[in-house]
Amino acid sequence: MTKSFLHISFFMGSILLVLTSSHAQIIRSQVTRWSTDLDGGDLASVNEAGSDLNSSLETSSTFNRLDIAGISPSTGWKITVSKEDINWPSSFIPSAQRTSIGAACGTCSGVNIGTSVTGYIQITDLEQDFIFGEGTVNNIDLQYRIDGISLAVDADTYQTRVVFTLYGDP
Amino acid sequence: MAFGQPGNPIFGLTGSTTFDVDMRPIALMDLETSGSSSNLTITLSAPDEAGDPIGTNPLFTNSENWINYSCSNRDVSSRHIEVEISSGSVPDGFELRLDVATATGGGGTLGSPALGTIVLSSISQSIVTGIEGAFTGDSFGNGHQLTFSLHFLTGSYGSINNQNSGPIIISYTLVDD
Repeated sequence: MTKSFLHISFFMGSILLVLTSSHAQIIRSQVTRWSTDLDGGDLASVNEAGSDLNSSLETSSTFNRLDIAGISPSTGWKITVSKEDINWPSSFIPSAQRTSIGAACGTCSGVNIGTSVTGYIQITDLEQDFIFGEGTVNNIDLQYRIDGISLAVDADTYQTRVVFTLYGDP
Repeated sequence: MAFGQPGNPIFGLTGSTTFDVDMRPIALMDLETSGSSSNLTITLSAPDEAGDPIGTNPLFTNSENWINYSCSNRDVSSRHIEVEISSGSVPDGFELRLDVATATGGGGTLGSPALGTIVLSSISQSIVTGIEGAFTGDSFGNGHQLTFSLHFLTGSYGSINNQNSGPIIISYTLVDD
C-alpha cells in the first residue's frame, strides 16, 4: 500500500514538473563548448620555426545558436553577455557577434536589429547588453572570436565560461 | 521599456558556452641564411710571399646564418640550444669559433646567447639558454645571428697541412630543461 502511494506521488510530481516547464522562460545556448587546440599547425607559417601563432581564432558564422522561448509575443527582453574565467589569460580577448535574427514566433517581433549590437562585442567580466527583442525566437546565430593568441602566453589549458543572461520587460 | 537589471532580473535565466583553448607544446628550430646556403665553404690559399703565414686571423668569417625558433613550453620551464661538431673535425692547427648574438625580432621570453666566443668541438655546448614561450620571427635578420670564424693557432702552426681537410657537420639541438 505504501509502495503504491509512492508511485502515485512520483507520477504527480512528474506531471507538475512538465506543466511548470511548459510555461517557463528559457534561454538556451545550443552549443555549450568551443574547444580548440593550438600546435605547430596553428603558426602563422605552418610548422615554420620563428613564426608566432595566428593571433586570432574564429568560429564559423553559425557556430552557435541561441533560443529564447516561453515568452509571450508582446513581452520584450534583452540578453546580456559576460564571461566567468576559470583559467584565462588577460591577453586573450574573446568576442561574440550575432550573425542572424533567428526565427521569431508567428506573432512575435523577434530580434530588434535597431537596438541590438551590430558586429563583434568584446566579452568582459561585466554584463553588457547584446541582443534585444520581443517574444519567442529560435536559432539566433552566433559567431565567436578570440584575439591576442601568441606564443608569448605560457602554454596551458585555458577556459572561460561565456554567459548569456535573459532579462524581461516587467 | 524597462528591463530587469543585473541582480534583479525578471527572468534571470542564463545559457552559456565554455571556451577551451589548449595550447600544446611547440618546439621548432631552424637555420635561416642571407646567403645562397647555410653551408659554409672555407678555402685557404697558400701565401704569395715566401716567409708569410697563410694569412691573418681570422682567416675566414661568416655572419650569414641565423637561428630561428618557436617554443611553447608546457611540461618544461624552458629550453636551450646546444651546438656540436657531429661529424668530421677541424683540421689540426685551426680553431672554428662561434659567436652568438642577442636575438632580434619576435616576442615572448627569448633565450640569452652564450657570453663570449665558443670554440666548436665534438662536445655539446650551450649557445642559447632560457627560452620560454617565444618566437624569433621567421627568416634571416630574425633570431640569433651566428658568426663563424676560422683561426690558425700560432703555437700549432707546424700541424697545418692539407691532408685532413674535409666536411664538418655542425648540429644544433633544441633541448628541454
